[in-house]
Amino acid sequence: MPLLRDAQVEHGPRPLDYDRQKAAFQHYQSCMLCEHRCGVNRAGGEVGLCKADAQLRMFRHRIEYSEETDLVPSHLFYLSGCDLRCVFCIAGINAFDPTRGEELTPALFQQAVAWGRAQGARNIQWIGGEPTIHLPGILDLMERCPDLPPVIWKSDFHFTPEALSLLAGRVDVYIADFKFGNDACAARLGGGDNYVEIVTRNLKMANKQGRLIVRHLLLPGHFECCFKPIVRWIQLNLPDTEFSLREGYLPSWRSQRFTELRLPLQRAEQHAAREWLNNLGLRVIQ
Amino acid sequence: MNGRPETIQNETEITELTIGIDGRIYVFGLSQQILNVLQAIAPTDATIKRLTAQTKLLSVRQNDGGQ
Repeated sequence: MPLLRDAQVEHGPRPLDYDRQKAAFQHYQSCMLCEHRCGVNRAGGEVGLCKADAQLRMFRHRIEYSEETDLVPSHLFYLSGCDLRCVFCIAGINAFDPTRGEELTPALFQQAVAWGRAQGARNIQWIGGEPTIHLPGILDLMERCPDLPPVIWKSDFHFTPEALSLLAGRVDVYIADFKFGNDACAARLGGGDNYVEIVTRNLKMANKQGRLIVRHLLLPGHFECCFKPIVRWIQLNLPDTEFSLREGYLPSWRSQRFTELRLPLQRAEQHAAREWLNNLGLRVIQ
Repeated sequence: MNGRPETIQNETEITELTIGIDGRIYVFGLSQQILNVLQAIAPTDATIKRLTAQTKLLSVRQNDGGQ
């Protein structure tokens, strides 16, 4: 398993990949970046389910120390707009309203990257919302950045194979938020159809494309229906993949509308999940 | 956060702490400074130890002019 390249190892400048850029920007004319496959002309003012136009906006950036150990300090770039609608999203309206924040221009991005490097950041991490809906813009920013650190792509993994192929060779680490273990919970709490089939397909593909870390946020009351199916699937299909259990659930956004999500995770569920992981022998990282 | 972020916010020095009624501490947005504070008040916590060790390791490397 390739480790994250050290921040001192420079990527660029890379030669501009015009074919890839052209293919990416075609999605702004007929967007098929996520599996909603809206096909809308975002550059022409149409919006799909994510409601994003063709402009990439960032509402926050920060150096973060609470990621998986070998990734910290990580420089997180928060982009507004998302293709899912998870009721417990900690970013809330900033994630779901793609008009929030400020346009991330190449100059601003390069300035931020340089600042992050000076602060000791080992990598940059695209986060949202969902970065994939802004993939053409992000690729363009990265292509123009002469001093690009290693790149982490933290995603809901609800993207299309076409989108993932555009990231090949441009991303060092994929962090997948595998949120739901069945389609009913996904539809109820995240607003997507065929969730499990889409995410598991993408996990298999991404695993061949770079380092993959699968995260799962343990949700109260979803031990049997979500946690267990997810870890069983990983055990069977991607047993060597790194798995990261997130246990810090707190009610956010619209969680209060859902009975089981109104309170923090109980210690008993937390301990049960850890025990399950130990018994399964997954490659758990922290 | 309250209000509409019209400009990009650098929240590197902002950390949100929530202390549960059972004593668990939830941290969103962990900065170096807060990591140092947590290390001081909970030196045996496994997560804090791991992250502190990583940070120190990187610091040593930078000071050595190494990787």
